[in-house]
Amino acid sequence: MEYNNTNSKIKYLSKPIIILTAVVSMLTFSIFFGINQVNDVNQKVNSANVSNNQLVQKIDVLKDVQEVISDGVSFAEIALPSKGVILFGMSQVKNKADSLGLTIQNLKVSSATGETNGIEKVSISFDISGDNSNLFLFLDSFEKTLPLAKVNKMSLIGQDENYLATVTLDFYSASPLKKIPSLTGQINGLTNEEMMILQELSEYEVPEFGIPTVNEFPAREDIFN
Amino acid sequence: MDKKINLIPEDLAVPASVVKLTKIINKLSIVMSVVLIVAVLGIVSLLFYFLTNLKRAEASNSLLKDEVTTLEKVEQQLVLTKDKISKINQVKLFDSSDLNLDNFKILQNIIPEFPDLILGEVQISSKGIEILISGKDTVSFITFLRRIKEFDAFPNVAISSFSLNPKSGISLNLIYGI
Repeated sequence: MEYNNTNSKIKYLSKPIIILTAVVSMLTFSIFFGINQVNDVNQKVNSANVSNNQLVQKIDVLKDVQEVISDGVSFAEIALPSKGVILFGMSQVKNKADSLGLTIQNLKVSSATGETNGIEKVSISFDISGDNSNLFLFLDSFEKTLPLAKVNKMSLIGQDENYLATVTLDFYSASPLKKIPSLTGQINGLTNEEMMILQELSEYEVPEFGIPTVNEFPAREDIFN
Repeated sequence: MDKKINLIPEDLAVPASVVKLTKIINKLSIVMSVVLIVAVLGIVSLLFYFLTNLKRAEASNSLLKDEVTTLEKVEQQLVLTKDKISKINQVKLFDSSDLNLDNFKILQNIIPEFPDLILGEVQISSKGIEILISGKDTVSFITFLRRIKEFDAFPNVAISSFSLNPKSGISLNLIYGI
């Protein structure tokens, strides 16, 4: 009889216990699963917001520099050209000598030698003769000349006001970057120091090339009239 | 008042304590069910809210990426310019003869003060200036060297060669280092 009574107690209690267990299990599952899901989505929202902020900052930077950069890149590119530094250099040497009435002879160009950090050096050597003060004006002018140049060495001999000098000028070039930052990567604008350098470069003398004139085609003959 | 009549034999009836426990469990189940419903609603609302935010953020991200793509040329120019400027700064630090050229101009201005001294070949480099100077008057040489010493531009002056010729006089090879 005792046995039957215990059985009936269990039967009586089992249903509510099963229901309670089911409800508690569902609640636990919902809370854990739900919170995980919410966390996942929240993390995605946060990373999207971070990415958005970076993009907004990048757009602001790019819009800020948009006006100055097209001129800036030109001056920076001429200052340290990726290619054609010899032509630019020779053009500067010739034009400056012509404008100061100096005579250039025995112009020689060395092969490029690597300096640090992708910078290459090409040396142009030549004999130059003429008025003493103009010769020094010529040499001084390379301090503010594009492409960037430095007087490597010179020897000179002269009498009275006329000098004959053998000059070696170094011109520099640099290969362009091959990789730009990723679309969402951060970018910094131009610093004040960089802006000042660009401003300084814009006052330097740029090489001048004669623009070749294209022969115009003669007017086509009208064969119907 | 209703009168409760229990017709079940007493030995088969569920004890009052079990009935009470069952009632507690049932009440607990109801409370838990309510909590479950509230939790599910809360989580679904949160998920909906965050998913809406995510959708909005992704849409904005896509628009911003498009805008960055249209500014890609500016970005390339900016990166190139910054790279070139850093290299320009390095080039500016490379050795050059500019300073010694300026120093030589000081020498050039001094030499006319000594008409009996003749300036011969001059070598100018980033390391210094080497000049050949000749003349017959020893006093002029000494005065010239004293005059040179007055300038801070030439802290180190060395005589690299000395020759004496009865016809042309004395020839000195002077090296001015920085």
